[in-house]
Amino acid sequence: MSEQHLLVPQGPGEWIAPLQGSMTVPGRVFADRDTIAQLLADEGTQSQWSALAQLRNVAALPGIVAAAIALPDIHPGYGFPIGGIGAFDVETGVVVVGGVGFDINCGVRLLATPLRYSQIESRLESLGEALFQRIPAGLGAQGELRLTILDLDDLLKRGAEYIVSKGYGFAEDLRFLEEEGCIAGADPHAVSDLAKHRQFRQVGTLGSGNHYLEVQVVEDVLDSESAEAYGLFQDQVVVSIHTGSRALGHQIGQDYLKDMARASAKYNMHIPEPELACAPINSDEGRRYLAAVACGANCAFANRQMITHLVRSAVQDVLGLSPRDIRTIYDIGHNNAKFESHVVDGITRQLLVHRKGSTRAFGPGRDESPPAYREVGHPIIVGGTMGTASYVLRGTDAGMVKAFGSGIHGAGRTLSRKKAAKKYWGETVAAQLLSQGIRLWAHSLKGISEEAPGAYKDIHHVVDATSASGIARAVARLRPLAVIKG
Amino acid sequence: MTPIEWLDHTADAAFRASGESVDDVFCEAAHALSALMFKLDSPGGQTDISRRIDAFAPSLPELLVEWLSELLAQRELLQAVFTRFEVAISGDHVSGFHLEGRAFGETLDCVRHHPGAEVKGITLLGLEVRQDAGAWIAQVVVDV
Repeated sequence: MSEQHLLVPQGPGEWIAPLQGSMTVPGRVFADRDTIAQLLADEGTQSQWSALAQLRNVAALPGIVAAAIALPDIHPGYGFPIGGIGAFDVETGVVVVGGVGFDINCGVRLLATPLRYSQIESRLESLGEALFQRIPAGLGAQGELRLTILDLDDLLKRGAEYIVSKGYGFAEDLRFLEEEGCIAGADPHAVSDLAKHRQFRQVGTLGSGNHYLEVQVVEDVLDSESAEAYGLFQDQVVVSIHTGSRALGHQIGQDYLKDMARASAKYNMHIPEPELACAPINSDEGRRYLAAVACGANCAFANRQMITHLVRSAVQDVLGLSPRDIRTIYDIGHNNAKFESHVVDGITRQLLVHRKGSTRAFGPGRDESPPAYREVGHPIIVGGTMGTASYVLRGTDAGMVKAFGSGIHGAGRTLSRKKAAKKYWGETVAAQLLSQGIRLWAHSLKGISEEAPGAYKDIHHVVDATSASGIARAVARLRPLAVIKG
Repeated sequence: MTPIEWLDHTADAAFRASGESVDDVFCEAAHALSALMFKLDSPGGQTDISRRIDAFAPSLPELLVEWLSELLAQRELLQAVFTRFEVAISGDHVSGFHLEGRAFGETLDCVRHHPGAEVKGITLLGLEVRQDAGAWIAQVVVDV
């Protein structure tokens, strides 16, 4: 198929990948022209790892509904592309390991302080140092919480609420978490002992790679009505926590990749590539995997809740704020498969929506949003790079129709870690950040070079492309002030 | 041919390991996995950790995933850095393959081992174990 037929313009910032091969639905890509050009270039050179080929593969899976969707931060993943969404009919569809990945419910929590930047500027260094000392980060770091296997099972069933019940946070936090910090249907029996043993010492740890904790300032309010609903204001100091389900999620992903590969054979699934190993949603294997995914998701919510407590204690020590002054704005995951109702061709349907490197982005009027946010839709927290910006967006009615209420999760990589490590020196990156007024604390110099801002797409372009397509609207831009990396 | 060739994958990490035998190539792949996460040549360490690993799978690529994922899990449980490996693989496509392996290593020392990004999982994307012109080749993409 020639290049002009691989992606056909459909509207502002929207492209269609027409049916070909075994696709049963088209692909729908929301992106700017640069991203489209990159997708087509990758298609020509390394089709095995091309994001567009991965999107077409998703569009060929059994029971997929309407379209396989990609957002402006699309880049090659494994199985699903990163920035990819697949919604499956609950009766005829499948649950796909590669649509969730190893870091189940990896996501971002945004915390608000009542302070303006000018009120903390002189104490920023102390705050960054306190956060770096307080929050376990990097490969091998261990959390403070010591759990028995029964405790851990309880945590997997109850998610963030378990952590709050132990005194780490407030009931009020839970109202502002996606699914109130607990996915229903979690069954600890579906999680291997190995996964649990790996997790004992990891609750309340940040991890490494692209995970981070940032103190940020609201640099610009772009939608004042939504910002007011969320409690965001110009020059406000906020804190973002990006982490996931840690070792427990990793091991669930590994265990079930094997199980679902067997299920794919058992149910005679014709899967385009092994990472798309899947099982019918309505099968023992599918139900068991989803019960394990819910455990992983709850572990991630609990992890971010524990880190929230650590942030509050550091802020209290350095800035003298009461922990209750640090309010949870929202917490949203970007690697998950969840049951949701959506209107498709005028009919309300129950679907299993996989979002790999994509957040839920429900627009106005959905009951799933906290009551305080229901009129505008819940926040979408978009993690940018440590040298540019992060954003808060909100969902739209158009996004509900065209993208199953899904939003971008970040900037999206353009350089591999290998190329980034070759191109950028950790010390140089840190010095450049400092010259921009961004202080960096990190456990790994190699990690800094791999996560250099230049390794990512321009977050502003990615957000502009999202807004232009109409699937989400920018609410606020956040500039990093202090960055903690693993 | 160098034993480990690092490949480009935008979001994750990928490598191609080679060896004279299938046992060798499994050891080289294990070495690549450790090298992705740690600096392995810093002096001063004592190889005081040893862990036996058994794995079974119907095919060699699946056996490689079993071996590497078990190494990831054991490394974490032991808070170790594995630096040397022994592998003996037996079996065939009819009865399946069995790996008897051992990983040797040191207790993780963040100062000496310079930990980087942790590997979250071993994917099936582009997974290969094959013979090419007398050498054994293994290709692996890992999630970081």
